[in-house]
Amino acid sequence: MLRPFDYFHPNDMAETLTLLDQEDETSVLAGGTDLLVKMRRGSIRPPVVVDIKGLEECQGIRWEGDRLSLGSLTTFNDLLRSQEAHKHFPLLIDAARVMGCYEVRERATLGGNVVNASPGAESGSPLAVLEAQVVLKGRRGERQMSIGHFWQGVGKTDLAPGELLVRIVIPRLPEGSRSTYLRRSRVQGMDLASVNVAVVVINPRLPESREIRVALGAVAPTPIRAREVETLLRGQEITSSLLSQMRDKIQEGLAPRTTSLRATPGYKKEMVGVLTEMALEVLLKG
Amino acid sequence: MKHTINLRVNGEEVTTDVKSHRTLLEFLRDQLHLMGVKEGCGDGECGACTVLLNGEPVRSCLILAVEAQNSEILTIEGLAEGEKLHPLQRAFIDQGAVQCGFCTPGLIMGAKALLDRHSHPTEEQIREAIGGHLCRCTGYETILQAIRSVAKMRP
Repeated sequence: MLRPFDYFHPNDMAETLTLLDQEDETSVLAGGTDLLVKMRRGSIRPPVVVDIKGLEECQGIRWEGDRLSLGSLTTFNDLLRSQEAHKHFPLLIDAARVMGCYEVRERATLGGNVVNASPGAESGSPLAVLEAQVVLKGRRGERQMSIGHFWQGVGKTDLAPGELLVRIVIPRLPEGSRSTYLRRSRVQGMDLASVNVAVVVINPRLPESREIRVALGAVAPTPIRAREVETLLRGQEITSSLLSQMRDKIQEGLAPRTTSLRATPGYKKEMVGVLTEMALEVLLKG
Repeated sequence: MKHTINLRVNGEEVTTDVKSHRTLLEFLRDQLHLMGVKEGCGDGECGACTVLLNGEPVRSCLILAVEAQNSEILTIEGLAEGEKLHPLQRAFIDQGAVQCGFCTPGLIMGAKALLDRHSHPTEEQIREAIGGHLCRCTGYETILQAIRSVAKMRP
């Protein structure tokens, strides 16, 4: 059973931000698929819960100029129903498809996934590789930052007390770009990723101007970009010796935690290279 | 903190007071005595508490009762028409897809939502729809057969 708390369901932003500003331990309720689990376990005991599902500003998927703006309340099933996501960011669809199960995807939100800041979050490496920005609102105003700066550690973000994640914006990729998300899990079906990679290829058919971006999940306290691998691959013909260098390089500096129940550090370090190679094979074909 | 909520449960209007910390699962079982809604893990992992909220399957253990304000809830109790079982209920019996029965209400509600979305689901869609439901007795094969048989009966 949950401990008693006060529940509010405001319909406007000003009221929400006032509520969030009043108490330090206020929890924001969106889909509830993580929050209620934490509350039940007693790992958080908020005296006040603010349900933000009435906030229009946190809803919907739309283009704002050259950036696709996703409300923090966008559920994973909303993503799967979005033509824009399918067309422009297929890796988000790959990730949404394997997130939880149907019932969880119906409720779980992108905003919740981002704010929870789990190292292996399904949306983590895709948003990192897409260079997404988060839009945060508080009583003192609005700010934007790159998602890479937003995540600060396991379960830690730059969200200040009283602030709310309102939207996630993703810059449009150049025409013809390709992307995918691959992961390994212990079982098919409902399981968290043991390790995951997200890869974007810009100009896939023109090796000399080709840019390859790689992000990794569940191998560090936050999803991370594999910048050195990106530099290694930039503008290069992809050969088996380059891929072999890539698999070595990608492991450098990685020290996945040893306490993971899902996979050993050795497996994860090996697998990020294998998954990246698999992704490149798919994305560079034809 | 108490809230007055209005919702429809199995076709009937309900207006009642709930405490903010009560889950939809607790509300359905303890206040409305709909015991077909099962609590398995309480963490959203097992699927036993699945009900339809505005036609979509959800984990009632991960939703507060107050969140169901103005919604339409369907539980296993609302599926049969009088004495006449829903085709999925009939098929689960005919195919022997029920052993201990604890997962059955959640599975049937998940399967109903699937068949509402896709009248002739692919094998992959069926498997995906029950992917979040744990059954420790049947080995799933009879459950898959039951769902397939209902889809097959459709025009």
